[in-house]
Amino acid sequence: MANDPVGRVVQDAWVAQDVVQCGYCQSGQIMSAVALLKSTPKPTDTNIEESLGGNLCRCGTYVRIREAIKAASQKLK
Amino acid sequence: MTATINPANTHQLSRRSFLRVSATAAGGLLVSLYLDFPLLAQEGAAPKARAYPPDAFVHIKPDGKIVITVNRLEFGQGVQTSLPMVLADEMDADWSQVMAELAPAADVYKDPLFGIQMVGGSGSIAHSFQQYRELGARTRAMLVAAAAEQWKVAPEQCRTEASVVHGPGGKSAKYGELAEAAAKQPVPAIVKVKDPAQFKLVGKNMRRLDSRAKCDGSLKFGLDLDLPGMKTAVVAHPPVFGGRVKSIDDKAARELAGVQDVFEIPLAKGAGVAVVADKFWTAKQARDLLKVEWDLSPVEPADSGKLWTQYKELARTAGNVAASQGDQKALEAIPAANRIEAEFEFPYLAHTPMEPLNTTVRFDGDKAEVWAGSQFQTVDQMAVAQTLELKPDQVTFHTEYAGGGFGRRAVIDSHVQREAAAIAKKLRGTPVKLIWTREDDVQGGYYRPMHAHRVEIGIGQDGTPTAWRHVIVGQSLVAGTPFAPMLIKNGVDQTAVEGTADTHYIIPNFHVSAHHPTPNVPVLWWRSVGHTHNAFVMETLIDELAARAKMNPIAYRLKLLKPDAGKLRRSLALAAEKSIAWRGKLPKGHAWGAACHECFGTGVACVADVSVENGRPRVHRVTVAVDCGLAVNPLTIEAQFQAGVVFGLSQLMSKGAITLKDGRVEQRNFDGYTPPYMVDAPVAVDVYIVPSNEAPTGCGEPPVPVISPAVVNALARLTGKRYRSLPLTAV
Repeated sequence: MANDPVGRVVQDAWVAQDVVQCGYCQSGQIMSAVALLKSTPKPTDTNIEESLGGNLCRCGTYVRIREAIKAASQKLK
Repeated sequence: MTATINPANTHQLSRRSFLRVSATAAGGLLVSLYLDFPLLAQEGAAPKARAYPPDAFVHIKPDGKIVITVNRLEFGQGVQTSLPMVLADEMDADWSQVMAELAPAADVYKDPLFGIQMVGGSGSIAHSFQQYRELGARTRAMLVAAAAEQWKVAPEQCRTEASVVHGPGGKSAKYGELAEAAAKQPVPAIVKVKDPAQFKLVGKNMRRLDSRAKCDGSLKFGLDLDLPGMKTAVVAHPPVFGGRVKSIDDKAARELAGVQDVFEIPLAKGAGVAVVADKFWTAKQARDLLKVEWDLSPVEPADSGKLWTQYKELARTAGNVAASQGDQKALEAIPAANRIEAEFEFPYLAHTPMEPLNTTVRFDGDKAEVWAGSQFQTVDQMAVAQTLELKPDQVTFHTEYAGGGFGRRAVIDSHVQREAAAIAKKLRGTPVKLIWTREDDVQGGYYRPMHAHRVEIGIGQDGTPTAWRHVIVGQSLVAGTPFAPMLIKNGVDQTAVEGTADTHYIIPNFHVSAHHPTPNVPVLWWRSVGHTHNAFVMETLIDELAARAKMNPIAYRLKLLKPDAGKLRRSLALAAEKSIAWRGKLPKGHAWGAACHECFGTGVACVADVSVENGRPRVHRVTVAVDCGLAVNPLTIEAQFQAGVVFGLSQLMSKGAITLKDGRVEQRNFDGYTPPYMVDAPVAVDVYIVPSNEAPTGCGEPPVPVISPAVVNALARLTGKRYRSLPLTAV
């Protein structure tokens, strides 16, 4: 993932937004986010909900996941 | 800010090698912790001077890297960043060189207040803040003493900054260079800690040290552990809690390639059948092929429907007194028109941490080694020792990173560790990892207990409650355990009534009692424990009273709160101020709801913007204000609240209940017991922290209780209905 240009940006955004808590689900969240940004570079909240809607985070880090995706989208512009 | 934990180093530096290196003190500085715990004095308990055995909290390597050992499990709450911040700040360390490591089980790492090594009660920062400050100050003093000795100057002539000691005449030395000499200095008994105004790290937004490793997948959780020759085990548990094994037909299971053994093991209650194989999937498939005949004759089959009937009946009678003030008969004097009678239902809840429960054990006859993401190292270590007929100090216990926990990894009977040890006993010399699948966990008990509340309120002329009679029915979490003497008072488990019996509202005639039935279902603390249901009851009823009084629910609360409820008053005022702009321009179909609650010493207020979409509450925005004393890492506190409110919303999910029918749990996985997904979570959560230099209090659990009442209070404004039965199946 770190060798993929979008993947690296998303990982960096995750670190910058301090998204992770327990971290167990975050590899999956990041993969879904990368797939979303590759198909939809400027995702809306609805796009984000649709793409990551099946990725459960029991810690509940969804607010920062949204922020990180939006920050990564800005970076990729 | 570039500080990141180096995952490769973290794992190469295993607990054992770290301790071995430390023991030789070669090229590093060790600081032993001992003596004074000012927090104990603050709590009113006698300060206990205790000489701790020499052990390491700080390891300064010759290259300047500083490894700080964290005496807590890291399972999301961020303590493995916050406690190193506290220590590094006091020692004036270069934060970019700081790494964190989780402590193995050892006496020196026990919680200074609780006396066992654990994470619980939101106590990590609250109990170890002063401890880590003093450790940092001692380390700094020893480094300064070493430099002063070399330079033949007085320590007072030296100052420290970013891992460098500066002396007179432009002399300077890096911590890494001084470490060996510093290790030979005496550990000062008394040290001066910083004035909060001097903090460089504490109080700043610091990103997590474990973030990169959790984003690139390199961080290893307990479940990821792989040891040479390791086997994997699963256990077939009886379909009703406490059932026993009558007979096992394992012919088909044993024929599966890779299956090593099948045998009966004792469980915390009853018995089960362990299946050991070369890998997980083989073990799981073999378990599916087992034909076990269970003996369920001695066990009571719990049934949610029957329990509700029993609980509601009990709620109509007074239980053991939890709180009593004023006149108990005051209620009868109030006319029926000015009374509220309310019954509440709360179901069993599972914690379902994302990383399935697991523990790895290797038993070598006269010693054992354990790897577990444990919130209860001391308890789990003792359980393994007992199962293997060893002494606790013969059991090396490694704390692994855990994928969530929320209380599920703090189990008094250590049932997972006991099962793993029982299997390892049979496999002597071979490491074995026991995995509880998601289904095992959802069906395996150890739930937040179901509760019924019955409340009768008499309302005075001014719209405030003048009489309040409240009965709480639910299982005790600790009856019959070593925790009972501490937590059961007058026959009342304090964890069942917390948040009600100690309410901060002024209610002149106030009577709370509790019943603790004992159905055959194992129960456990679920993040924020009794506050999960008590805050819901109190905050929805207070809201209803405010509505009847035709008052703004925030103003009503401020009027009703006791004058000394400072943390709640400050939180409420801040939440009100920060939400006023958006509350004033809500779109049609939206309403706001408020709630406040104090728990674990932290005051929280929250205001939620809610609409109804597809028959479900949609939470658009939440404003949270928190008074947690000194905010050690505001970025982490914000994270705990932004995400903790989502955990709290679990209670409102339409499939947010564990139910039993004829002793069997009716849910199996996330299809039947569904925690919040992104669409169920607030789109935005704004967190504001009340500025404070008071002693820091916990932030792990306090986010949870406030959100559900705030959301249903908003729903009540939209629908005119009151919601007293959870989960929220219909709006």
